[in-house]
Amino acid sequence: MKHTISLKVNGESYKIDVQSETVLLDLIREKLDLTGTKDGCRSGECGACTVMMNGVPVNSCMVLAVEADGSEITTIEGLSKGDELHPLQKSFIEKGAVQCGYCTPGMILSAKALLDRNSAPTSEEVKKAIRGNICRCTGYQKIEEAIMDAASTMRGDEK
Amino acid sequence: MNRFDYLKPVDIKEACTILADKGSKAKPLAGGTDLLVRWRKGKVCPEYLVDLKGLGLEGVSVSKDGGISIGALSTLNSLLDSEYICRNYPFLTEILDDMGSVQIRNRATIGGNICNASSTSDLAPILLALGAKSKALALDGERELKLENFFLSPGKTVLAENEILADIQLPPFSKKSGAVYLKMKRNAMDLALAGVAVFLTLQDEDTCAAAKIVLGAVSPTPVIATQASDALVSAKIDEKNIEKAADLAEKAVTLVKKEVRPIDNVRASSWYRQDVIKSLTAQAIEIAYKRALQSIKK
Amino acid sequence: MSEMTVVGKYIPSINALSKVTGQNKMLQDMKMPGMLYGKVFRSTQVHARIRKIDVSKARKLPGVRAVITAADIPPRVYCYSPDSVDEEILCSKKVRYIGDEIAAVAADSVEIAQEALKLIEVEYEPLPGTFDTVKAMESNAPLVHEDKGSNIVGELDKEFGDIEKGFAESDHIFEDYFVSSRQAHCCMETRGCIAQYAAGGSYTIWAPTQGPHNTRTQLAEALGIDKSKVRVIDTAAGGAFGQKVMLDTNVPIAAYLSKFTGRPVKLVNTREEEFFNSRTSYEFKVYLKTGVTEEGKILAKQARVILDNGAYTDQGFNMVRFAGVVFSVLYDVPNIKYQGSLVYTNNQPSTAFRGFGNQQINFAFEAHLDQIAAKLGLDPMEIRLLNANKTGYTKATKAFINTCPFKECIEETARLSGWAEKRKLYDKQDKNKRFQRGIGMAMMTHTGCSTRNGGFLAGEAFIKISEDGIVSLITPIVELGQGGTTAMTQIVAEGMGVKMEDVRIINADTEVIPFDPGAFGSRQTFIDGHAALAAALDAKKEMLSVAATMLDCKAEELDAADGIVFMKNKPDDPKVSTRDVAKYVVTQKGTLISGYGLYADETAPEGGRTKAFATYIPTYAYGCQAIEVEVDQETGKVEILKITALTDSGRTLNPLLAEGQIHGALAQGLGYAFTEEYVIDEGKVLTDSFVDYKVPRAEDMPEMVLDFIESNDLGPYGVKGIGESGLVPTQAALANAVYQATGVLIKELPVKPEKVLKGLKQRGLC
Ligand SMILES: Cc1cc2nc3c(=O)[nH]c(=O)nc-3n(C[C@H](O)[C@H](O)[C@H](O)COP(=O)(O)OP(=O)(O)OC[C@H]3O[C@@H](n4cnc5c(N)ncnc54)[C@H](O)[C@@H]3O)c2cc1C
Ligand code: FES
Ligand code: FES
Repeated sequence: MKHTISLKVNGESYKIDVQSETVLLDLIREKLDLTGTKDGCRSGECGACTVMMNGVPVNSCMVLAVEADGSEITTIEGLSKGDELHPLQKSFIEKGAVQCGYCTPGMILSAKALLDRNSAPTSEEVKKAIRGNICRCTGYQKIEEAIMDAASTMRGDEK
Repeated sequence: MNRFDYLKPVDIKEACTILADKGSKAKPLAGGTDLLVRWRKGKVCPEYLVDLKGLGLEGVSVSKDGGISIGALSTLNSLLDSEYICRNYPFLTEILDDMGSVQIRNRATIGGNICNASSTSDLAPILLALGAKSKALALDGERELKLENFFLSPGKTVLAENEILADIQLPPFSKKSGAVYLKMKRNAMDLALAGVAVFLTLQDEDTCAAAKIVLGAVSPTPVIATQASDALVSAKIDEKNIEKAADLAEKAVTLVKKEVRPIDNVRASSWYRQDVIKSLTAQAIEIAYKRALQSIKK
Repeated sequence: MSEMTVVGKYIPSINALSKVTGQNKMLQDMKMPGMLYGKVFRSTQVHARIRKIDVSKARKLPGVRAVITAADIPPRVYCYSPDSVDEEILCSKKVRYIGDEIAAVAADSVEIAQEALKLIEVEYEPLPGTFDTVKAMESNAPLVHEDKGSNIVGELDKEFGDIEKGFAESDHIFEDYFVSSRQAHCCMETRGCIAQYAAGGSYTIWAPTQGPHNTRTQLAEALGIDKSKVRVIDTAAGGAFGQKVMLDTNVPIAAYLSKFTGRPVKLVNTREEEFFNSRTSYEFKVYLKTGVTEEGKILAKQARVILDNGAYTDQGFNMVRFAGVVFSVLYDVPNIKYQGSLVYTNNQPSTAFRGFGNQQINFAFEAHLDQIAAKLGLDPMEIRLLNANKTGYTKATKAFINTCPFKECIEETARLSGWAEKRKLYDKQDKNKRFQRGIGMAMMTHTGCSTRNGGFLAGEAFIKISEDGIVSLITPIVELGQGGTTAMTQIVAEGMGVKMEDVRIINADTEVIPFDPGAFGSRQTFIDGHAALAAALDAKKEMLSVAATMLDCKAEELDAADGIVFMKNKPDDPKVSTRDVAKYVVTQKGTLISGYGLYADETAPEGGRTKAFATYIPTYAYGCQAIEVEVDQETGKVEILKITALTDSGRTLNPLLAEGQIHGALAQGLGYAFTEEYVIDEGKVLTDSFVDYKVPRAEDMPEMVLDFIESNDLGPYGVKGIGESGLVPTQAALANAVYQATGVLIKELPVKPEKVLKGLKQRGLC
């Protein structure tokens, strides 16, 4: 059945028709053409589809689009302000945390969720925060370094 | 893709009415982290999904006796953030912290975890060990359930099609008690290959007054290892008795084996699960004991 | 060598910006006007004759635009490698594994296509299957391909020196048997493509590949059409790891669906399909026999390997040979025998995987060697050093080792891992304790630059320079996330003396780029790097001669670096920018600057292009790893404490990316060694999701200590390829560490707790 839902994605309001079965991932990718959010498994295991929903990270493949009615979504496209990159985006580039880039959007959003709550995470906390995101390319080391580096930038630490 | 219709009742009464009307065609939807995976694989094909979120079944409330009632629709992360739980049931916080991923925990609910009746549930063993109770709601009234009698078989509980699990109630956690759940897994994010929950209360510094050992992931539903638990009651918690209890826990798995098919799959074979239970149990008793001692000393 | 401006520096990937902002478009993100969505109907049987296929209901479903079966397309049996023609695009008479393609649908949406699959009915006549390679070789085994008369696809038998004499002269002979299981690539982007047919019979394909030209050749072969009718546009892959060297079986299907509908058709695997259908690495059964002297000198080594080809032939022939080469070349042994068999089964076909069979054979031999060392009372490091390779020709195979940092690799690994102390410490630990520690090592050699197979060792590059000084390199380099395009940018910037940000890469499109088979065998940085460097130097020469006119001096007196032209004798005095030179050329001279580069390996031995063995590898790279573990003897659980990895990079072009390559390879190697168990039961893949197939997550990764040895080899600026080697020694290093800790050697991968515990029980240790 069709449902009409309203939601905000990256600050923009949408009123849109969705089927009961449509998942948020497909709404974002197929209907809104925000393809930064990736599809890696459709079963909550890989985290490629991670978006922020009302301020917390979720697997958009595991949320029905109708369930997102009235919510605020942030995808990777909503992270930078124009040309101004988020510190995480900058660190991911500089620290070599990006290889094929398939996991990157989800990884960055998971990292953002961590830093939103904890501005000075330990390396253990970083690893745990990205547990739900598989990266097959980097072995995670440089991703962790990038997250630590961004945390330090955001705290305003001197380098 | 099997089609379904998403229904969003505005209150509990409407939810119960829908469930009563639609019968087996409808399924309650909580976080969807189990349901949607099973639906996608074609293992369940409901015609209606009835969303239970936002009906007031979220949150933790403290009861008069100091115990708590956890709304069935509370997400795992909301419980992880609960200061009251962290202070009074720290072992629960510890378990929640190691479940799934952050993303999953933001959706997954405690009620869904229990209602899903999966053998690999990380919450069922500890909740059983604590002697949790629940309230089930239906159009024609509510009933109190003991979690002990809740699980029938994988995916099957005593809940009727038209019933909603409303909460999970935990008794107050005594100053003389200690509890822990240990889980064997293959890597960081994994379902349990074997899990042991131990809850014990001390009489004095080295004698155990009450104990409950519950085993997960070794059989279709969680197993209360009665003999193993009994072996600890009124006994001294020392190396000998720990080993005895651990042996009995392992035997409990053997007993289960006679009644039901133990879990034997690509994740781990049944002999391994059973073997690990022994070591996990011994370790869990030790930790629970240490924790109880600590809280006595406090 | 003079100071470099960008070579050898930590330089971030040039594509990272579009990836962190979500703007990077991968195949799965692409849509085209009128595009349809394809889905494949796959066999549910391991082995069966097809009695009847009924697609009539599926054809009637609204939104379905085409349903095709073998009856709708020209009959044709093809093969990716011409060695064993055995595959059809859609099965006409028989299916040979679960997942085999029978029919395909193109529809308005993925959902409709999926619905249509449910309406397709196939009647099978089940046949007995064969799943185990050893059994499949028996004379009474069911035949996967009746027309071949045997399940043995191919065999290779090589002997160097005199193996029997070698054994006769040995003081001790050791025999052992290992199984290196399959590994799934698990690229985060599943395989897929978009195919567009155009009137006149041509096809354009968008797909992530490891070589668009390879895809083009193979698609033309599969369709039985002229190559000129196929254009392939590579979409930078979301991971490849060897999986995308060969044509995706979806591509010819999508091509036909597009032909039948006249519309672009997108066909993408689900994650489940990816697990049971997109091919895995080869399972190797390895029988070893080694003869050594009392002191530990290896006099003879023999391997018999059996590879599970699966139902259709892919890279098997090359794999048998390559594994034999690295087996024969690692350690300087006078007498060697190697026999390899490639065997059909009713399992999913196998394909290339980063490492190309090296890790499978390396696991076996390096674990075996530790056993020999233990029996002889030698330290594992000692026995390796005793048999080390040296620069020059190897004794038996006559392979030529250009630069051989064998000794440095092993000694540096020992130093960084604290080998000597830890080995001693753990030998003396109290064996009754529950937790036992161990440290293990393994050595490897790999190609530093692909092989001298036909055309693999040549590459071309073109440079064009626009009027604003932007330098564009037209190159066949493929970007898989490994940093290929960044490496080319560095080489051009360094070679020409221009700024990194002034360099652009034009790649991916077979209509544009020079011929090149692709990114595999750690070859592209070497070969295409050479070509790029030659083009850069060519363009630079022209640029300096123009600059000389501008500055009224001789071109020989000038040089350029980082976008600035200067007099060689006054490098600190900038004369003119390279951008200004480019502008001057156009506006004042009315001409243009360009560059051309060709690299071709002229030393390829006669006939070596197809038949040679160890001599077909132009240069060998070395590597060594040590892994330290702690084993819980009650549960068999192994915790990896630290991994030390030494890599012979020739020269590290970009340490940031090189480290990333090794980190990633280690994660894959550890996964293979430890948790990635690919379970096939009678042809059915049981591990078809990330729930059951456990790839490492961040918390699973131990401390990684890396270092590179710069042996300065034949590649541009001295590089050797490093894309693959990082995961080769990992498995044996882990197994050897667990062996030191517990006395249990796991001979079949992965080294999972259950096996360790079983081993401990069998030894009566718990
Ligand atoms: C990637 C991943 C990792 C996971 N990791 C873990 C883990 O580490 N440990 C673990 O234990 N589990 C894990 N799970 C399983 C799952 O997340 C949990 O079981 C979760 O708590 C289920 O809750 P839910 O709200 O999502 O349930 P849902 O999927 O919404 O529901 C599950 C079932 O319960 C029924 N139901 C739900 N709520 C009610 C109610 N109030 N009344 C009546 N019926 C109800 C539904 O109809 C459905 O049949 C994981 C799942 C995924 C996908
Ligand atoms: S696509 Fe959602 S978790 Fe993998
Ligand atoms: S960069 Fe490729 S999956 Fe992470």
